[in-house]
Parts: sequence; C-alpha cells; structure tokens
Amino acid sequence: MSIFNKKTEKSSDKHYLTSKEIKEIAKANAKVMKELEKKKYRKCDESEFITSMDDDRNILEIEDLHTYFFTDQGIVKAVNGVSFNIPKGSTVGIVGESGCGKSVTSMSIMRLLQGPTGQIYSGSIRFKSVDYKRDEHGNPIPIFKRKPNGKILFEDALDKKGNVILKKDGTPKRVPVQARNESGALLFATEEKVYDIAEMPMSEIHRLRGRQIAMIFQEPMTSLNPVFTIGNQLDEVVFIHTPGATPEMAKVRSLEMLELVGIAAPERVYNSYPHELSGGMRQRVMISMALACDPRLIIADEPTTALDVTIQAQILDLLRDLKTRIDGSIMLITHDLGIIAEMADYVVVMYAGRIIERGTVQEIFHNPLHPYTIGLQKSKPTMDSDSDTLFNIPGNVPNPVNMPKHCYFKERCSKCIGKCSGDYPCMVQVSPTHYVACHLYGEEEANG
Amino acid sequence: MADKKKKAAIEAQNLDPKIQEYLEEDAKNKAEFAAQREEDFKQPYDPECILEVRHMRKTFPLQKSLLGKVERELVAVDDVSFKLKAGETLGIVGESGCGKTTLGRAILKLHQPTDGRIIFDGEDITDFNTKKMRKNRTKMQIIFQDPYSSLPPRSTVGDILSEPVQVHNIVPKDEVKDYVLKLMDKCGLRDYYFERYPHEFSGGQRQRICIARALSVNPKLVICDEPVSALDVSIQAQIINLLKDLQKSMNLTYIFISHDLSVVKFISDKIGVMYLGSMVEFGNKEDIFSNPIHPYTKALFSAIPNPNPDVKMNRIVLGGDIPSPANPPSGCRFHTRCPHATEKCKYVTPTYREYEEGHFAACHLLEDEAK
Repeated sequence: MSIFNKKTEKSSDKHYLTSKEIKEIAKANAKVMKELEKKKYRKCDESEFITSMDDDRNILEIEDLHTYFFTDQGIVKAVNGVSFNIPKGSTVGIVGESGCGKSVTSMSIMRLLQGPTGQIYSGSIRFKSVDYKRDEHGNPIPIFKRKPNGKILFEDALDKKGNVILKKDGTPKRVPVQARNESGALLFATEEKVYDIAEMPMSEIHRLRGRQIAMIFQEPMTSLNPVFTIGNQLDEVVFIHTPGATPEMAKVRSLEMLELVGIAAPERVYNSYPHELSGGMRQRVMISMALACDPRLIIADEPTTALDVTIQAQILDLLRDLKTRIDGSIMLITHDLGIIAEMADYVVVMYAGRIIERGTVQEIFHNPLHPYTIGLQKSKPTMDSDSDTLFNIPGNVPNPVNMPKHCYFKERCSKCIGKCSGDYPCMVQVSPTHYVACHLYGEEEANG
Repeated sequence: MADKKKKAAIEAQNLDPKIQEYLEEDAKNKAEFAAQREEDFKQPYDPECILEVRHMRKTFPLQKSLLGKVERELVAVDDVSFKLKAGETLGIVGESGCGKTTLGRAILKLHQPTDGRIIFDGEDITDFNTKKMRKNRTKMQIIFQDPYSSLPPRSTVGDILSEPVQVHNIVPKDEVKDYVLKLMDKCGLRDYYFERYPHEFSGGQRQRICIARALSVNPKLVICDEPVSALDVSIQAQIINLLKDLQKSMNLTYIFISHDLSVVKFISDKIGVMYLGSMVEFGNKEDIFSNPIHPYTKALFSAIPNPNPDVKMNRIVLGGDIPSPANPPSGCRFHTRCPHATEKCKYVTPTYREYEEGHFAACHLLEDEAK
C-alpha cells in the first residue's frame, strides 16, 4: 500500500521525471550546448562584437539578457530577459533573494559562467571601454615622447644588462622613447570602443576582464589563493594587464593599492599569506586587487555579506570613498536593503530571474510599487519600528525549472487580480526612471 | 643606539607613577572581584528565574607542556553572568569570534564550562554527568545556524522528528506518529513531508524542521544559534514570526544568538552585547536601544545600514579589526578600537556593574561619570 502511495505521489509531482524523460532532456540540451560552446570558442574578426551604445551616458547596457543553465532536469532560466543600464559614475544596486539571478547576471557580464551547462543564450551586454589601440598584429600602439618641435625623441637601445646595442656598422642602435605616466607605467594610445560582451569569443575577453571590469567576490576566504602571498597575487594582476610592466613596477603599484584601501602596514600584508589576515583585511585585499588596473566598472557581488557589522561599515565607507576617487561605476549586488539605501543611486529589484522593478533609490524606497518590493521592505525588521509581528511574504520562490507562464509572484502575492493568471506582465514605465512589471499598474496606465 | 633608546623608554615606563598606580588599582579590583565571586556562588537561587548564569568562564587550551599543563589558553567566554525569567527572550549580539556561540553551548553543557555556575530550573547543572544531563536535555534544546548541515541526509523528516520523542519517551510508542504530525502542523510543515528527505526542502523549510526537532521534546529553554542568518529576508520574517508564535503558545524561553541587531531587537526582551568573550553591556531592550552606554554598543548600533536613503548616517566607524581572542589586549579589551580610550583603559580592567536597574555595563568612562 505504502509503495503504491509513493508512486501516485511521485507521478502527481510535476517536478518528478522518469529516467527516459531525463535522457530526452539531456539529449536536447547537448545539441544546444554544443552550438553555444562552438560560438563561444570561435575565431572571429573584431567587427563582429563591436557595436554602439544607445545612450552615450551609460557605461553598461544590458538588453534582454537570457542566461540559461542546461541541466538534466530541464532548462533553468536563471536570467530571463533582464535589461538595465549603468550610467557612468553611478552605483547601481541589485537586490533580490538567493537564486533570483543577481549573481548570474554579474557572472554573465564577466563571462565567468561555468560551461558547458551555463550559457548566455541570447541578448546583448554593451560595454563602453577605453581600450588600447592595436596595430595589425594585435599589439598595442605605444605613445612616444616628443621634442618641443613635435619630433619623436630617440635614445640608444640598451640590452638587458644595460649595455648599448650596436648596429652592424658599429653605430649605436637608436629607438624611440616611450612616454610614461607619473607612476612610471608605459603609455599606449587608447580609443573608446563599445563591445558586445555576449558576442565576444572567450579568446578576446581578456581585453575587458580585470582591466576594464573588475569583480569583488563574496567570500574573501575562498577567492584568494592560499598557497601564494598577497603580494604575489596582486603583482600578477598588474603584470598581466599592463603591457610593458616590470616586476618592480608591479610591486610599487601593488603597495600603492594596498595603501589606498586603508591597510596600515602594506609591506607586511604584501608579504603575508591569505590565512594570516582577518576577514576584513582579506576583503580589502580583494578590493585592492579589483582596483589595481583602474577599472571603469566594479562589480561587487555581496562584498560585505561574510563580514561583521563594524567591518561592513568600514568596507562600505571605503567603497564609497574609492568610487569618487577613481571615478568609476559600481554594480552592487546584495540582499540587504539597508546597504542599497546607503550606497546606490539606482536600484534594480530581481525576482526569479526577471527584473520586477527598477528606478532611482528614492523611488524604490519611498514609492515602491511591486508587491514583492513592498513585502521585502516590510519584512525586514528595522531599528525604529515597534510592531509585534513581522510582515511576511508567504510561500517560497517557485522552482526554477518549468516556470509558470503567468507572473512568477502570483502564488505569493496578496494583491492578485484576475489578470494575473494571464501572461507575464511587461515592464510599465511609471516615471522617466521608474519601471515596474506588474499588472496592477498596467491597468492604471490603460485607464488613466 | 636603538637599544639604548628602547631601554630608556622601558625605564621611563616603569618609573611612571601613574601607570604604577593603575596596575595597583587593577590588582585591587581583581582581588575584590575574586571575593565577590565567592559570595555570588553562595547566594540562593532566584525562584523566578529559569536560568541563572554566574561568572561563567570557558577556556580552550592552545598549548600544553610535556606534562599536560596548559601554557597558553584561549578565553572564549570570560566571566559572564545573567539571569533570565521564564518566557523571556535574551538576545546575544556581537561580532564573530566574540564567544556568543560558545556561551550558548556552555549553557547547554555541550562544552563543559571551565568555571562558574549554571542554575537551570532550580538546579545547579554545572557538575551533572552525562547520564544526569540526558534527562535534563528534554528541557533545553538548540537550533543551529545552518539548516543545510544540521539535518541527517539519510533520514526522512518523520525519522528525524520521532527519534527524540522515542528516546525520551515523551508519548507512548503508538502515538508517536500522531504527535509528530501535530508538531509538524504547528511548525508549518505539511503532513506529506513526513516521508521526505531533507535535501528535498528549501532552507526555510529545513529550518522549520530544525525548530520542530528542537520542540519535539517539549523544552523550556531553546537556544537559537543564528537561526535566520542563512536565510533570505522574506523567509527570515516567516521563521521569526513562527518562533514568536511558538513562544507564546508553548511558553518558551529563548536565548537568541545573532549578529543582526535589527532581528535581535525585534525578538528579544533582554539584550546582552558581547565583545571578545566578555559581556560589555546587558539590560532590557528598551534601555539598551534608547540609552546605550557602552561605546562598543553605540558603535555597533550606528553601523547598521538604515533602509532609508534620505537618512544620512552619523556613523561611528571603529578602526581596526577585532583582536585575536588568543591574545587579548590588556586592561579593557575594547581599548584598541574605542574612540574614547584613555590611558587608564590600557591597564585597568573595568568591572561589570549595574548602572540603572537591570542595566549592566563594563566601562571606565561610566564609572568616572558616576563619580
């Protein structure tokens, strides 16, 4: 009897799959994954992934991004049609519960998705980068020092030991002198280019990763290599991403960065191993590593979740301070609304792989529209509130495989209307910067 | 040359009468404290209180000599005392490594305390052996932080929940299933979960299973060791509300350990703030939140991000990191990070005393003010 019961329960469970079904799904997935992998590792010309921005003030534009995980249980649409912009010099906060796709969005921007299961299926991520101008061989074009009359300055060429290299006829070989900036780094000609990150092949992604877009990971404990010293790991970043860098220059830069993030004894930290540092120190090292190449965009993926409150306060102060100093943009991913309120200029609220509401921080906190955003704000106990029970959103996030066709929040929503059983609501513009995906507001717009 | 300078500096330090005075005062305080401690141990038990902790101390040996003598030790909990009435919730806050979990475990005697007394339900349980303690376990339970690792993956929910009931003979054998189903209903678990395994559940549901397991033996005291910090905000609210409802219906006493001050404020009646093993402030929720007196508590409160973009935070940012508990600073342990630290704080350990009724703290600044 009990066996029979189990069977019926399993067959009634819509997430239960037979092995035959699993095989079929795996076969279909393999086909798609193979194609996407092929595209990822293709050789192509630069023109294929160069586009232009919609709005020149933005540094990053994500349009209709779909990132899927092809599992044997079915396709997990971790990011399902996400579009938002990051204006230059601003902080965009992304909030949502675990599994809502906020980290996967950042991973898609960095192209760090675990292949072959994780793939950017469609959509575009346009990033405005200032990249080195390259000659026909792909080498960066140097800027040479010039005399006051505009002619290029030449000097004798030296070999590694510092001796003058002579030509065959006995005269010293003359080479042009490359210009350097104040800290001694070689200068190269740069140009502004807009890349579509989603279309870039993996062989070209190093143009952006680390140098243009840097990432601060959630867990400083696991993201530093335990067998190398901090100095070693920091130098590597500078060394790889700066053409013509010498180890000495890399060290100078590393120490400079460690000082910038407020480490009192940079020389000591430089020579120590990650396990010798505390959590807050490690996170500072991670931040200095991200900032080492003056990135134009910093993605901070839950930078303070693993830290204590007092250390969190230090790190947030530091991030805010650094943003103004290096004039970059920050994409801040967190589940803490308090941090968002404090740090962000624009807020994107995600739920189950989709953006449900976005706007400026004032709009989201003073005039939240989507029931989920309202619930999220009410369910967090605040320091000034004195209620007896907390507001809670009933139920759980739906299973990421086989998402329903209607609004994903319908089962947990208290303001459900008849229209909610229909198609997924589209984004409605409430104000020039405020968008919401909910039928409640679509109706109003139509009536008004 | 450098050596000479160093020597001179050391001599100057030795000669400084002020420091000498401080050291003497510290020694005097310590002697006074030892006498006070003996006296406290002799005092009768408060019948109103379900739990009384008197001068609890827990150390872990770091280094032992050849003969087994402890040469270096880590003081995880240093002289913590408090009283808790039945039906109350005590929230313990502090940063990681401040000994809040060790305190919770020592109260349950999952760690044998090195020194001090635990009086639970009118009995001194400090020296109870395992056998005697086993009977007591039905009265005190714990909910762990991580619901993903605290449930056995090979047992069904039914097995997990009925095992403690069977072991402690809470109900007759044939009524166990009904009892467990009732309990599951109370904790918001559907009855068909009975035959499912933990991996089939989300974090919030698993935490509900953990709560149900803890409550299956009808305990009086439940220690919640960061029960919501691994959960999402919307699920957090569900679990906190569940804990509150269960407290009302079963008249439970909670010790709620957390680093999230807003959660602690919501659920607690009394709050204890810990720093590096010692309790720096203890009192009623209203007193602590409206009038925090210890500088650490003030800094801790100001560090919480406020979900209101218009409020400009007037934040006290503490510099530096938490010192290692294996090598704590001398004098007041907070003096390395305290914005108001004086010379005295470096040498004299502040005593933990009552400033208002039921509001305890340990800080020199307050003592000076009181004088």
